[in-house]
Amino acid sequence: MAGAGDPRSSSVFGARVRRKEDARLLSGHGRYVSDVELPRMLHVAFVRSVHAHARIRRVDAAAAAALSGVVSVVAGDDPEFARHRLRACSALPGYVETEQPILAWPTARYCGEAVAAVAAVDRYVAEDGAVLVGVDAEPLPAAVDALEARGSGATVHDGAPGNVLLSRRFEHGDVDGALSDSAVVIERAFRTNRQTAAPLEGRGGVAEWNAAEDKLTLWSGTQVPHLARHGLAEILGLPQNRIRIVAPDVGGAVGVKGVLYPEDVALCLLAMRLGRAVKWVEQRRAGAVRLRAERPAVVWRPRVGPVRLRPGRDAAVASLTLLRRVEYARRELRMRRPPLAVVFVGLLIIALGETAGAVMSQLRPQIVRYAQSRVAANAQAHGLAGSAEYDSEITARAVYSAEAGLSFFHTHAQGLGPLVIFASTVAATAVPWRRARGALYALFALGALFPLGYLAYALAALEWGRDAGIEAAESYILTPLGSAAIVGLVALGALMVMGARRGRAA
Amino acid sequence: MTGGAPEVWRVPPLPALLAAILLIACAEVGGASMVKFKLELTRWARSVMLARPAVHGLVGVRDVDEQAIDETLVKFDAALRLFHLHAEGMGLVIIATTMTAATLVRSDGARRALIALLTVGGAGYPFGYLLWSALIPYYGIQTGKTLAEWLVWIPFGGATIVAAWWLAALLGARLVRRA
Repeated sequence: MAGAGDPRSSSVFGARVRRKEDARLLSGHGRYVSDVELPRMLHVAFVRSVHAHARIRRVDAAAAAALSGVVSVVAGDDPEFARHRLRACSALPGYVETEQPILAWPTARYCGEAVAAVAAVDRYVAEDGAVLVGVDAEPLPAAVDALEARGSGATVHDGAPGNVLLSRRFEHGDVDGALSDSAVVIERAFRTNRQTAAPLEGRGGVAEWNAAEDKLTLWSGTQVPHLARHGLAEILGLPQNRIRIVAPDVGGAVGVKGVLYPEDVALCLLAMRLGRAVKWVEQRRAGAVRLRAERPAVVWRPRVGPVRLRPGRDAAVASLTLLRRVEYARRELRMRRPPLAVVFVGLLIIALGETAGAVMSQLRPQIVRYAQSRVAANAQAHGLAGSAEYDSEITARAVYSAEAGLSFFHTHAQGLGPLVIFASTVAATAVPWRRARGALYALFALGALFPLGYLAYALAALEWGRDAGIEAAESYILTPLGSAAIVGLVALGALMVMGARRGRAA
Repeated sequence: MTGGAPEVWRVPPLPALLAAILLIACAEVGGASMVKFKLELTRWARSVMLARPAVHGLVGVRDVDEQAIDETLVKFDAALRLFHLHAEGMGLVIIATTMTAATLVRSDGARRALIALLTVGGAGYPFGYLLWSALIPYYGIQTGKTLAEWLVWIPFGGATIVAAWWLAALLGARLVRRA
């Protein structure tokens, strides 16, 4: 039976594909752009901007033009070159369409942009001539960072004041909802490096103009011959049937040969002007600088959260292929956070409890003195009789009661603060009814204030006596607030059971 | 801190959790040891105290010395008990507060500082009671307490208090902004 991978299979999927070009290419019989040789052909070298952003004041071609073998030197201010522009169109809403010159004039907008072209009888003379071209340029503020470029003063195109050509937002599904349901949400800023492709064969082209037939032929190592023909026809004002694009063997492209470049147009214009074929093969160094740079300094701010997982099972949560990063959640853990106010109350009680403990330790003599003075001031409430021994014992008991009140406040606050946070977290997670959760939060927040009763007791015991202090603290604070905490905890248990039953029923 | 607070708790860093769990475990062990080895601990403390009569004001009169030793042993036992109680409580406090900081403090620097202070302060503070307890037989109640205060309680407890109020202030400010 012929299946996938079987050469006899009629399906292309999974079938071996016979490589037809290997023998020719491996035996050195491939034909690339650089192999194209035409009669009287000239060679072209480009002079490139060394500035990321500059105003070009003057291009001095005299020395280059005087060099033996140089046939022509053109710059961006040449009227024939200046009137032609590349224009990338898009139907996307908000897209800012900008024009790109064939040779930069009067502004160079990136490092490596072609400023002038030298056509000579051979490649060596052309390169020597390019070196002799003098470019008088005034550097301008450059935008070299994608984030900083946005809204910066270094405007690349006047038509795009904020340096934004297109702004798009992609959304799919309920992102916020999914993130809020996630056990772990990771939010980081990632900065990617600027990158560019480096095919084995650099870019290049050979342009030939047949004046007798008004036909233009461009040999180009392109991935998109039809796009190139369409673009050239539009820019040069020629019918498409007068333009022929020949894409010979391509020594790799990696995407960078998928667009029409200004150099392609410049070759065609030179060929049409000079009436001779012109050839240009990119230097590796020029390609590294000039080629379409991708994702330069792009900052990604992903928020990655795990998708809903099956309880108790480890699973990959989310991956961004871009980041080559996968986060794992150990287990389903969706502990919801209670409202800020409840957390704040719990935290406040913890902080107060800590402080009270430190105060008790560090200011004990002052506390004792204060307590003794209050007992003396409230002699009747404490039943002081005027007997030194008796009164001393009474005072010591009252002071002890006040210290005990502070100590109870310290220990209860330390215990109830975390309790409120944890109990309200359980309520937020396990109680499905919003109003019930709200009631629980209120009960827990009130319960968290329960330790204040001991603080009140410490003060009241000094002012009104031990028994009256206990009674007041119990009546007004300890009993109601303690009851709130107890009711809240019992209700939480009941609501959790009801919630679990409802979940099972659903 | 910003307005986009997550709706779920974020787990605090592993070292913070580990410190809290170890502290609770130490507290449990301490509590159990107090009961299990009460006699041995008392004997050890008593022998150390008897070897240092000047520190504890022992005068060689049995009735007076026994009362002094008993009072010191009560403090010795109380310090152990306080370690047990505080370690139990601070373990939970570390978890609650570091979880809050990890979830609600957006600034990386502030969050890290808070978590570090809460963890180190919270985990270190209860050991002051253990230290005090160990120092009492050697240096007496007050000197031992002073040493424990300056070596442990003030630096570690201070770190916890500062961090707790800092965190509370951040949350309070956020609540005010929301209001």
